[in-house]
Amino acid sequence: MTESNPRAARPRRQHAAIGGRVLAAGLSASGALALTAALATTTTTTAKASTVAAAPAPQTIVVRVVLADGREALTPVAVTPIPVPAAPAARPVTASKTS
Amino acid sequence: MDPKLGWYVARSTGITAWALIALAVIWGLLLTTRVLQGHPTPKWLLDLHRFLGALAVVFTGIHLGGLVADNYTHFGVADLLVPFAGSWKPGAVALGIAGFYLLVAVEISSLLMRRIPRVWWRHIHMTSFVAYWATTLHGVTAGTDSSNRVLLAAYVGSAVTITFLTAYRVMVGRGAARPSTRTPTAVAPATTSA
Repeated sequence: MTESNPRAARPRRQHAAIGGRVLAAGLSASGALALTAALATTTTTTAKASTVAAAPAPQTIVVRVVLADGREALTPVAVTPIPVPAAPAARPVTASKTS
Repeated sequence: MDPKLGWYVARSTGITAWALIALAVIWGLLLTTRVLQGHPTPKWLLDLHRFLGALAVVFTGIHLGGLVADNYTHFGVADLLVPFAGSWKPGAVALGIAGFYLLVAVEISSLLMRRIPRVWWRHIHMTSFVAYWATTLHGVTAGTDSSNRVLLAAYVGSAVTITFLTAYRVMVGRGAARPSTRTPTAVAPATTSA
């Protein structure tokens, strides 16, 4: 006596959307990678820009000093450069009435 | 290696996971409303709907793993699994945690669909709408990139699409677009399981 196995008789389910699955997985993975790269690049650029805008480091210059008796001396002096604000945009020249 | 790599991975996979959740919900609604009228076939839609859900769980796992592995922010396992356990935007994070649990429940119930009562599966599956809205609000309120215009457009676009399809589904009913002349394709057994 033989007994049929219903599980064995059931046809194996086919994946209907193989193409869609591959597309979804590929887009998801590549999208996440691209986003990660974009975030890293954007943040690095911002960090570089902020470094450029940071306060300037002190510099040492040599100053020639003329003493009261006429002699001269050279002495090192530490100075800190002050960022110069950008000059305001030139106003457009407007014709003015002259008397 | 960039010390913030985990942070970047967490952000990118969080966005990807949210997009997959939104697509899975939209695919499910396209399947049950039959607005596409069989093109593509319901079997194709169902297969991709299931795959998108599973992929969303995978990317959510990577999102959480990235947050734990990252040293830039300080999220512990408890902060990511217990609502309101962390101090950083606890409400917004709790929405994400709730969405994660619902997503896992929907996925597990779908895997066990043949072994649990149909009504249980149906009720659990309906919480996928809650999961979508919870994760969307989580992204808007907690996401570092929520002010990005492209992402905002994606949030609004998915919300409008899902609201429209849900309203269509409620008002018109299941399978409203089913053709009156039944064909073997139109009554494929796979269409009744979502």
